[in-house]
Amino acid sequence: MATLATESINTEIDRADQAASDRVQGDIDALDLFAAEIKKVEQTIPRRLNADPEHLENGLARLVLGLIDLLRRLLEKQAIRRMEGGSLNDEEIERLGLAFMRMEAKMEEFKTIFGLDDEDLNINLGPLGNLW
Amino acid sequence: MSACYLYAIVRAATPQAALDTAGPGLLDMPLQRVAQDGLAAVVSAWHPARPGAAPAADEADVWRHEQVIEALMDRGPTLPVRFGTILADAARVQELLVTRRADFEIDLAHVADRVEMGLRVLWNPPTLAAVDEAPPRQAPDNVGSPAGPGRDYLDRLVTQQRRENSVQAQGRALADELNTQLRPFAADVHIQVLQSERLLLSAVYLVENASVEAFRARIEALRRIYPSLSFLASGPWPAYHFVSDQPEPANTRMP
Repeated sequence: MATLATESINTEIDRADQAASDRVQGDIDALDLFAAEIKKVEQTIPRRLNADPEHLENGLARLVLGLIDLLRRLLEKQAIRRMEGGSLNDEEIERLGLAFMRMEAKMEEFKTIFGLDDEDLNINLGPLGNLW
Repeated sequence: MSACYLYAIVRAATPQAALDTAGPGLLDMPLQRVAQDGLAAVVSAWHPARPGAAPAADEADVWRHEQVIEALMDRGPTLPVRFGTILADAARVQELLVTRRADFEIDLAHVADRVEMGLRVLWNPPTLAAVDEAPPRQAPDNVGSPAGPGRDYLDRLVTQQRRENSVQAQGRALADELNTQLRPFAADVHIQVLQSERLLLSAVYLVENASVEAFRARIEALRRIYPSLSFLASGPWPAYHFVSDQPEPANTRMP
């Protein structure tokens, strides 16, 4: 009986596979590339924090550093806008530039400590899109 | 009454015979109608012993869910419900039909005789170094004047931002060209552009049954016109993306 049931399920899956492949069109040889891009897009904030202490720390670090990095980028854009608009003098530009350089260096340190990269910090907010 | 696993919303006039041919549903349970005010939810009983347990998203179950919906679509307008949607009991299903009746009526009319066609397109974005640097919007005295490392840092950011903006603009223009070619075949579309660096276009089109082949032919034509792009189209599917605010999947509506 168990064998019959397994065969029946396999037949159904084979039929489903055929139905799926009949509905796919295009550059099938690039499926892996599509899968990789879709995976990037679908990375979202975990709905629950992993209770494992090591993972919990890493997840929190990702979230906090992602938010700090977002603020840093917003401030940089604001500074560029003001610089291009001519509302900053040379001394202010130099001072702001140095501050942003140091912030970036500090972020690099934190990313190394927690084993994160830029993609990890660009958290996907689902329907709202990426953080930056 | 046990928990109800939802497949679709249909008109209450849909005959039980349509359900009999579409079923059985998950767990080999027969399909049932829960009718209210001219609408009906197609459901099957779900794990009486474990009403809060969500179904495993295995291939066979996902296809069973899909096959039920597609069989119902053959019999009339059908609003597909996402895989894994469970309500506590028939009373909750009726409550859903009452509170969302107006939306469901509009959606049923919108998806009738139409199917969903998906499309994703990859591109190779121009490398930032290859993008012609746009002239500055303004050239105030303080931009580009010699100074220390702080100004150099901000100047580099300005250049990088202009290049990124240029790449984004090229991508959006290209995505717009593609959509312009496909839009006439669709009654509706949901489109997202540049969700990632390489994912130029991600779209779902609501296409008349009679226009599916023409839509697919246009995609083949686009592949020839844009050989540097990679296209992946799929369908026809039930119009999952054209149903407004579906009930939450899994067991989130359990008491």
